[in-house]
Amino acid sequence: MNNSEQLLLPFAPTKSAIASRGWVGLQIDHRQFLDALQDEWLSPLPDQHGRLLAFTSFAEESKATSEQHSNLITVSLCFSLHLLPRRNIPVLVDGVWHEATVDSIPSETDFVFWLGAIPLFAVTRIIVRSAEERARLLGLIKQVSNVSMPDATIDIDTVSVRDHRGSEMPKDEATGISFARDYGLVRGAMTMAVWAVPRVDPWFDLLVASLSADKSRLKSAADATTTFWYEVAPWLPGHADLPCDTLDCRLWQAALRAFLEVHHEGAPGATAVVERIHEYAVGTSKSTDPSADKWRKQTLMALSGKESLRLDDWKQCAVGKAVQLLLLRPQPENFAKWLQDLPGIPPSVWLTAATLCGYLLGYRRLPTSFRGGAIQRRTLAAQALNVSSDNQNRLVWPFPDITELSWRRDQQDIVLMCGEFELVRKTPHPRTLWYIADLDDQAVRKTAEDLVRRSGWQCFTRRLKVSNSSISFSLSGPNDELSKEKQGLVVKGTVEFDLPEAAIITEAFDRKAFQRCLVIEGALSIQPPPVKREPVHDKDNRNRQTMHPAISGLLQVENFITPAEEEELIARIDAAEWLEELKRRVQHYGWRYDYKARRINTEMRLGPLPSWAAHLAERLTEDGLLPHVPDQVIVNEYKGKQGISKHIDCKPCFEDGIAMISLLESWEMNFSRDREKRQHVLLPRRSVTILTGEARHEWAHEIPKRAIEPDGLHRKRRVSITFRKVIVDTGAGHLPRASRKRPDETST
Amino acid sequence: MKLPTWDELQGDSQQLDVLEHPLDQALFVAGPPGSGKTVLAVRRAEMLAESGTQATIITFNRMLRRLVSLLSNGTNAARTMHSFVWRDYLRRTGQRKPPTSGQSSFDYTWDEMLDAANSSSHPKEEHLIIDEGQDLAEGFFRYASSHAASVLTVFADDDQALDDRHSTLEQIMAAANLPKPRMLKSNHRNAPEVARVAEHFHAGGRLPAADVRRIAIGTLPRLIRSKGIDTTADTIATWFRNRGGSVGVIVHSNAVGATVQKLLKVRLPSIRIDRYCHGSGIEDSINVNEDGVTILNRESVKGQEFDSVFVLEIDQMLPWRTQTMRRVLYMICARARDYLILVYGPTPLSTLAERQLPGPKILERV
Repeated sequence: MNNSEQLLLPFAPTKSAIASRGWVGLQIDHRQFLDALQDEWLSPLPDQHGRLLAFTSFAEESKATSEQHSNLITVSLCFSLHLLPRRNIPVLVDGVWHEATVDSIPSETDFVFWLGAIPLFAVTRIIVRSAEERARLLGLIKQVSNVSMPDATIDIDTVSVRDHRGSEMPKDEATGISFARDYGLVRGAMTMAVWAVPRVDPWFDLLVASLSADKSRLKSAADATTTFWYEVAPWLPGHADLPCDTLDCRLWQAALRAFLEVHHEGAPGATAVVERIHEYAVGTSKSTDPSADKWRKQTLMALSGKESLRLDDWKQCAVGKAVQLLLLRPQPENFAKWLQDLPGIPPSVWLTAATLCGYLLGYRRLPTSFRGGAIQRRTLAAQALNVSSDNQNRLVWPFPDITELSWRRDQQDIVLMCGEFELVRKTPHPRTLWYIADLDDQAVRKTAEDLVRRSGWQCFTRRLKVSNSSISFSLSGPNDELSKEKQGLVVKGTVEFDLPEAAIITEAFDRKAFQRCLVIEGALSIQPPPVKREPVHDKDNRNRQTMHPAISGLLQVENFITPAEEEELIARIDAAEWLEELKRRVQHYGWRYDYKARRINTEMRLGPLPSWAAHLAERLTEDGLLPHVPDQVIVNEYKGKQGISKHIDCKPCFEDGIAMISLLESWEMNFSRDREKRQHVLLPRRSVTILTGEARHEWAHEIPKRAIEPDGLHRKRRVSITFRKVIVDTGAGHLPRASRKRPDETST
Repeated sequence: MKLPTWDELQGDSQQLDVLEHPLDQALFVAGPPGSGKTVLAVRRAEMLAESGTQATIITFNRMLRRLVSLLSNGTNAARTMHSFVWRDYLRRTGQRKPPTSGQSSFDYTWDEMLDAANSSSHPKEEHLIIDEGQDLAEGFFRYASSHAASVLTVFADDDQALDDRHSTLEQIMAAANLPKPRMLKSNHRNAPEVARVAEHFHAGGRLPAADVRRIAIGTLPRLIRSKGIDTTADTIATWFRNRGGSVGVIVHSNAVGATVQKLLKVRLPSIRIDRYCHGSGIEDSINVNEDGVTILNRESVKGQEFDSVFVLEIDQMLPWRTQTMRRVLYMICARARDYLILVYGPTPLSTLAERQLPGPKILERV
């Protein structure tokens, strides 16, 4: 039997064992690696149709590239076989190519040949040669907006490579994984839709139904959110040809078509894009379309800077408004700032604009902050591929696909699930809290009515109440009529009623209308519903103070916060806006703190603390934990591996006495001073930690960046609230002028 | 800081070369103002920190605040040269004050210091990163390479010296025993539409290779005739409300700058509206990259970059009569990343001025 005959025969396991689990590996240089990380697929080299990988070893990188450039880092990647899609691939056993399925590779296999692109989410281990190379690789990745490390361990090791010289490559017969021309755009659109989904129940219904192409549920979800164009979302097969007649729908399809052209033909400029969308939306019909023309004119005026974008007319065409938002700020970082600059954006406009933003940009250029976690990335990567391929070539992935998408509520969070995997978790928005609020509660109901009035929502029904009396009426003209039908009285023309004295007109709060407004309407500001207060708990039990034996001035009070208080604090914090300028999310109250300038002046006053923070600030002073009432609060959110590097809180900015309240999880904080032994201090959940004297001024503290705490806790989320008292910089210590005269000795 | 995508970074081979340089090897980088040296210095310090190496950044006084503010969270030490030398000398010799000549207490006699430090066994720093090396004395580099640090990274600018104690690239290289400098080019990340207008003003010589950003949808730069300063302020305010991001307003006269600032503060009450004049000493502050409006005179734009740039009083800068004036226009226009708007009026432009501008296919008339 010669080689060519063997090529397509399935490998027949005889004596040899089947390797049910295992991995395949290859080496590439770091430039190829970063290139692949941009869209998380490693494509074949330009003149090849696949990648050669060694079975439980590494296929060596081609020497040519590594000799060109001495600073290249060799990256060895291990792909886990059980994370790759189930398909037949060529395997080289004893110098002969066979075909085997991914999950039944014979254990004698030397190499496999992966046809087409290979997904990087199957990488479980990354190996480099030295700590210097690892630092340089991680450093490079940090300097790039659209690349992050895969969820894999990164080790320093020497690796053995398997020599493949002399072995022939399999012939190019089977088709490998390749991408349709809108693959990256569809994936970008899906990713941004998940990122931007408004946090109220019906929007999650819409997202789930639309992404999983569940047509029956999609219709009712689109109706509840008035976004029927999501029935022709770009990730639905054949979306461009589905009938869609309203202006919203025509603009949606026109924008998708124009953006696809922009992507492939280069940017013709914003004005030309508007003209093209208008042209596609109006179509071939000869008659003019006044509403489309109006949209075109308004858009051009906003683009030229002659008019400010207006939101008040969004109901005439939500898609048109979304396209305007996007064209004015096409870069995703700037686009995201619309939420702060125009807090009244209606949810439908926001989601639509974000979806189009992802489609216009494409996944490859999307900054990592928009991309979501590993589960979300791999699920959407697989789904975008499936959307664009016919049924025969659909890949079978070893994890649940998007048809298993669902959402559920976990306490107040909303969690998107794919099978048993958590795709993404969203903290509640005040809209969510209102949506599920108990409107029978007097205080809640009253605040709801205030919210409705302030936002100008139509949620009151005027009701006439008449008891035990008869009402006479008169018809004004010959054509006027009053008749009784099932749903009530029907008036044609005008009818006048004579009301008894005891008749009362009331305003009835319409709960259904309120919920609908929460889903659909824009609102400048929505505060969360009031929460029932817990009775003040036992003070003696609370104030058990512990002094740290080694760090003078470090004091802790456990259970300073009750579980109920913690829940309320988290709800209030999550309902407020997070600042995203640092790697972790933060909120500032009282005074803004400039991490760069490290000083505070009078212009940085934000106003009084919110009531929850003011309450805690008073308690800290009343309990004698702080010598002053703090007036500045920073909320820090730490997720997973996030931490804070070693620092001492800005000395000239804040008084002595700093309080840190820890919520949700207990993490360790490290304290260090000069050459002294580093101290590990647990910050228990719901405790307060006080730093005064040496602990505040001499010991630097840090939260290590790691996934697992020394006690084995797999970190998820910790929220800390820091209370400080500001020293206002009057300008006397202005650095540039002062530093001209003498060298600056204060900053280290 | 706005980070580039990997595709964009690969298009900028000099920056990439510096970022890819092994962390345990000496590195010498030279480049003109605006080529991103300080940012690269901070990034190298961050990467060193990641590898467990404590790096100290040394700079001349005036840059300190800028640097410290660039450092993400102040974990990397940044010191002025003087502060560093005083401390290091004390540790090595036990003397509080390094020897000096002349009247200034900063005019060190480096030879004497080198001799005195010779006998010290105080450990060296692992890695020193020196920014604005051209502003530091040649003797400092000798001191740094022989005593203070095991590995040196130096960033320098050849023609940006502050006073007569500066060093040339050759002096630095010899004194600090460095490899040949890697040369950076100026690094403006302009949208292609903006780059075309800037290039129009480039006067003769070799045009620096355009470092053009690929952006999703571009907008043609425009020339606007304004009825007066109030109308101009309205235009800028509307633009900011629509586009957000960082807006630079470049003026010819400080009086116009002050008026525009006042008018914008009324129109955009909750937005940062800053104004920098030449010589105010804070022109190096990088806060201008934060969202909001920054008003600068044309002498202060060096090293700055904005999403949108309004150039007011363009009629005061046109027609250009010398190549220097033309270069100024080139430099001003290259400050815009995405959008560029030139404003004149209320009087019309002279025919000559009009003729010196790019055509309407490159610069839209409104």
